Amino acid sequence: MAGNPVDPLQTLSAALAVPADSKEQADILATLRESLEAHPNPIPILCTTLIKTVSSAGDSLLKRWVLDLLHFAISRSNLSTEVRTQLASQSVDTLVTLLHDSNTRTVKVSIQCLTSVYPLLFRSLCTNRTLRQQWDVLSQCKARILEFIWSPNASSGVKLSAIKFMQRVIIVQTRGISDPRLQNKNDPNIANVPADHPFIPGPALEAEGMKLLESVITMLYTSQNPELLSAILHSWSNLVKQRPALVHLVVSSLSSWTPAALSGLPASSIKSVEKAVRILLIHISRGPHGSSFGAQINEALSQQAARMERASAEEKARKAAVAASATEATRKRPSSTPAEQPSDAKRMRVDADIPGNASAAFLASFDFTTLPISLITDLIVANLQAFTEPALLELVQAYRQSRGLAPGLPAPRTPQPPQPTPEPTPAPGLSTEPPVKDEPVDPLQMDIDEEEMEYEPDRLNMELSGDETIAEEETIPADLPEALTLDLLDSKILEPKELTDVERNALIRGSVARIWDGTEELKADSIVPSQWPGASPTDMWMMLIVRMITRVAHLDGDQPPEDGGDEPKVPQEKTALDFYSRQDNLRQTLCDYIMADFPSRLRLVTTWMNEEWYNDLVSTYQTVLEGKPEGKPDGKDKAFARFLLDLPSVPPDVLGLLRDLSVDPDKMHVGFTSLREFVLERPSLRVEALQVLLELTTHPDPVTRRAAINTVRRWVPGIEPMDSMIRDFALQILRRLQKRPSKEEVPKVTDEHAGPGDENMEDGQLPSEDLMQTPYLTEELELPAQKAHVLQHVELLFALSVKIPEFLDEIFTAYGQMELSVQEAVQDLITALIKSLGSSNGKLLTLMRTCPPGSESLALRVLTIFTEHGRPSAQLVALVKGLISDRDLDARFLIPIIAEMDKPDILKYLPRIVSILNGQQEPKNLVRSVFSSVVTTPPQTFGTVSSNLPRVRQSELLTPAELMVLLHEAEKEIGLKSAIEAIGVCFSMTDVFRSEILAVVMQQIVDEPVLPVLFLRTVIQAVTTYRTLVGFVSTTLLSRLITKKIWQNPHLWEGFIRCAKVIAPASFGALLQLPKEQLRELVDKQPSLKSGLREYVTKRAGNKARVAGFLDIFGEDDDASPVAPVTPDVIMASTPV
Amino acid sequence: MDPRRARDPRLARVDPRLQRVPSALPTPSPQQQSGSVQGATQWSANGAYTASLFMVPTVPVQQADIASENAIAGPSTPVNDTGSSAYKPRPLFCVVCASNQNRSMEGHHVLHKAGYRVISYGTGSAVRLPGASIDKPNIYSFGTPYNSIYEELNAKDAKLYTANGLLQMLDRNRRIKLAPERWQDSRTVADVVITCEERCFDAVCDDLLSRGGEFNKPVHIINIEIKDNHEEALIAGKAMLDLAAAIETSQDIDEDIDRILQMQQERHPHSLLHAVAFY
Repeated sequence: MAGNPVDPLQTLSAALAVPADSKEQADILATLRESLEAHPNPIPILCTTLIKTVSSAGDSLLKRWVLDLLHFAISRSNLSTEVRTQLASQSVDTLVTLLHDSNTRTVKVSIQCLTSVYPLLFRSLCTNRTLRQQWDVLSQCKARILEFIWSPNASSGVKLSAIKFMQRVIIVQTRGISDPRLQNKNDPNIANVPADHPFIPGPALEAEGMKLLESVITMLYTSQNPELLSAILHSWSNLVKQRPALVHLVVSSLSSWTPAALSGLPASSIKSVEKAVRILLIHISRGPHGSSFGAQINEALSQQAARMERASAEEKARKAAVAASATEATRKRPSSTPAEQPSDAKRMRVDADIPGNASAAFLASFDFTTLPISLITDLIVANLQAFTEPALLELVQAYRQSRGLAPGLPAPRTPQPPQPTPEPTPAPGLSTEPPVKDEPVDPLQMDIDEEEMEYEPDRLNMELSGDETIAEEETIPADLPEALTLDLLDSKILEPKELTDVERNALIRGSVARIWDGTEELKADSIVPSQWPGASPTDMWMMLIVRMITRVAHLDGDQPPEDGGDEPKVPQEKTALDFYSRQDNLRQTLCDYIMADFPSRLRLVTTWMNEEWYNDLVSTYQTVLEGKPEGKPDGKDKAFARFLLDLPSVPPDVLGLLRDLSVDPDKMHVGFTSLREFVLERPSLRVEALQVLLELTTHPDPVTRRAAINTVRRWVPGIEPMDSMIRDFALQILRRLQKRPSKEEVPKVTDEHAGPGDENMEDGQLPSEDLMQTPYLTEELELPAQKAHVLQHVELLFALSVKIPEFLDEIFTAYGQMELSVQEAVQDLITALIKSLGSSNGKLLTLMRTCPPGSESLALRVLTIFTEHGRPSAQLVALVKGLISDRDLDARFLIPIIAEMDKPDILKYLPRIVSILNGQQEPKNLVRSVFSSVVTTPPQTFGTVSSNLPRVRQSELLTPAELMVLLHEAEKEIGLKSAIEAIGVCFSMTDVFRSEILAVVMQQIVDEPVLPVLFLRTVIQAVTTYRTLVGFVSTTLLSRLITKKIWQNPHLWEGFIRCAKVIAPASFGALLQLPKEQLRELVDKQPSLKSGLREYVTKRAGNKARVAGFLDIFGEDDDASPVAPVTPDVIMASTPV
Repeated sequence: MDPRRARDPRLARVDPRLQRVPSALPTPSPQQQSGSVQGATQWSANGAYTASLFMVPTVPVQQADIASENAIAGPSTPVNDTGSSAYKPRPLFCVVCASNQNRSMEGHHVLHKAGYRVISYGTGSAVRLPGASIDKPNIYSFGTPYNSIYEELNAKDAKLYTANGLLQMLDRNRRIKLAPERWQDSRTVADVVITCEERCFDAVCDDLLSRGGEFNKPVHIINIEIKDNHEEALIAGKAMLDLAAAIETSQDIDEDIDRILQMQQERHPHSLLHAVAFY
């Protein structure tokens, strides 16, 4: 086994001893191979000796073994490059001969070996100028292998290996990475060739490399062999990795690739190649160079996904068609698809998939139920849109005529089982197509055809009877049975009796009731109309009612009937009036009935509306429709949406109606549901309905707005075409918030076009007239902007940003161009979005790092949001630190994260934060919070030890003393004013900066070689705040200052004097240590100290001469002036600045 | 101690059955003992592709448990000239699914039983098995022996895991090889890779792209789309058997693969994908 290296020679001789090509030999060689893989050192010896002996022999087990071993050694083993190069150069001659071997397998393995040999030898030959012969051999073998690729005779296995060889050659013969630091020693490339090389022609090779790359791309686009394509794609990744300069070329060839050249191949082969492209693209996008091509790759991927989905739907359909064609192939249908102009490659492929001559049969047998509904609707709409409006109308007319003339025509059509989808609506629309069975209409059309057909006998009867008076059956229901009888007998009918309205109504009610009763008799089980039991008696009942009311409503005047003479002899106009009012009454009755229980009578109303539509009485139907929403008792049910959706034709004002409904808090559910369904299921109304929804996303009422946003949000991302429409809209609205050429400028500039035009060129903004406007937004955003107004603009975008982080880019970019007040509003409003994205959101972090100029304050806001609750992530801290050093940003960026920094960073950045102090309260509070976050609070009592420390990084924080010292040391950097304020802040934090802390601070600072200007000010403040410090200051500190010759610094000296005064008389002892000259100066400046000092000196016993000297200084002259009381004013005024 | 032991659970836990064939266990080579740093580099540079090293626990188990005639053609030798009397090289099949439990092991099982050279892998990040509820799957790292999983689940809820077929499956698997193995960690060179799901197909292709194809050896990757349940796996096992038979009888896979796949597509319902990638 691998662990116990066998003796190679021994094993080899054992293998040679057993019969050649026997199983024993195979076993022994396998063992040897395994051992050699683990310990490859003997391989070169073995290979070089064996390869020569076997190369000329015929195919044998041993030969294969040796060749495989060589392949392994050169390509895969961990032998050093030198050893492998040597092995390569020793075996290259043999390998070249083996390229002509009769055995395909040998050729393949040889090519695979040579694929590794080529770069190895290329590299060695670059430095070796004597082995011209070897280069020639190598060039020969390269030519030979490349020949294989285009040779029609080469086996595909050889081609696959040759493809890989070609890719390797391309890598070698193109320029590597120019940056010497990134260069890989194992990446020989054309740049290694010295310009004066005697036999390697660098430029020629480079040209050849590029040519080969071009031919690879050409093959990618033209080859019909899926394996070859797969091999190309799967061997391309190295080029991408090692030749960044060529990534662009590869990516764009891949992005624009379509399987156009593959037409005629089985769908699974096409899919395999598509997959290979896809996998490679995804691989590249994940790679180091992928990010720069991310957008392009993503776009290509989504296009490809759509293409593949389409292909798979087609393939599914094709399969179903193949299955069905056996049974229905004989049926002929005129195939006319006027809209289906094969305009692009994709279409062509579609056509190619379908066997051309069988297309008619194919269409006939196509089971459209296998297609996704959305695809069908899209196709239908596309088809319908191919006609111009008049042409379409004409066709509709023609169709109706043909139907009217030959009503029996559709009868022979095989009825299909009714569709379970309760969606007969678009079908009447479909039937407006020419009578040809156009490809996409099928399942739905079948539906309606069936319906039509069911009632065809009635019409047939009517037609056959040629008796128009049957039209009266509904106005005079009593005649109905008679009329029927007469129909059947085909005899002359009696003149209908003229009835009074009361009688008429009674008759109608009676007949309707009878129809209803009949239904019940017909059908013992369910009669609830809301159920959908196919063509049940209930349907029959509904149809009868509806047709009674709608279908036969021809006024005699319109179509003079044959036996018009039988009509009542009333004036034509009055008849008409009566007739219509009667009709309207009937309709109203039906409408009332439906309204009484709308949801459960939905089916009835749908049937009715379809019928009305069919009879072109659109006006009536609108009247009824308008009555509906008001009468609706319950806003919650879906019946209304269903109803609208089932309408065969939706008048444009319905959208307006729905818009109103959506705004009404009680009925908004209905409104939004309906609009949503329109967008989803009625492609013809999609744009309009979506527009309404989108406009509602800017509605001032938050409830409405949110409902609208929630409705549209579900389509993003991914559901086209809604997705892109919504995106566009959101961005357009955002653009409204950006600053436009202000009003003052534009009107003054007389040339109207110049203003927006210039703006456009500079900022890429849209000119103001192109801005999106919705009825809910004010014409111009009023400034200063109110939060609510801004929210109307951005809420949709924010909601979408959660799903599509790319929108954040847009927000940040646009933000930079907004008015200040708008910016403030946005900062506030974005909180929820940012919180939901979280501080580890990669996109957000990237954006913060690269935030466009002008949007820093938004970035700051994001940062603040992240840090408001809880600690910022390490990522964030690192990011902000980087940002600050790169961009020189406002110190406010630092504040949220300063507590997370380590001590050196805190020390580095704190001065910047402190320098924001400007006497205002707000920065002061900020600084206070920063201080409290970076400073460890010294334990109040040593007795209580809590393990529940708020911070884990205690040790990395500053002690209060360190902070104070830092403030002093950095006073210049901070600015004295700010430093004073900061020190004041410290003093105000009495729980942290207690007297002992201040003592430590003073002690530390006084020991420093250069005293900060502010030091004595702080000392004064300390002793006035904490009288307990007086002792320390007077005894220790002042003496130390005196030894440091404090008087040499005028500022400090001034402070010293004041300090001495403040703590007098405790300071007297120290003051006496001053040299006489300074002491004199001091008392000159503060004469009030004189008397105290004098008293002090006289009281103290001691050296008489010294006392006298002092008394001399403290002369008597100002005896009268009393010691001025120390007031806080004095202290505050003692600012040495 | 061998530095791998800490990382590789397979090496950490010694399967009891392994002890039956202690002689087959490799003693770590002197190089690997010489020092942890060197050992580690050895592992990645040398051991990485010598599957024999990597798959140490697997091979002996297979050899022990499996009829001896195929043992030599075990998965450890990449391009192996094992032939019986004729010296036609037999292709090495590699069946890959997500967890190396159900679909790939069914394939492994049937192909192996039929005498083909076969290995199997999973491409997932971990081995996931259904648990008591949909949100509580049982997750194991690759390399956890089937036997350990079997015993753990048996102890957890023998009734449940018998009812959903997991225990039977694991029982089968532990007779085939020691533990589920991860494709991305494998270095064995197969001739034909059969993936059981498009996701795995993608993962295998992508992994081969990442490896860089230094060996220049083409490999056919064929995806058979199989739903991840026992019944579908069983049906797909038969499909794989047909595919393997067609491939093994072919004189030149590269030449015939198109025809073979077409045949396969006609005879079996599973949708197929095919790629030629390079090791």
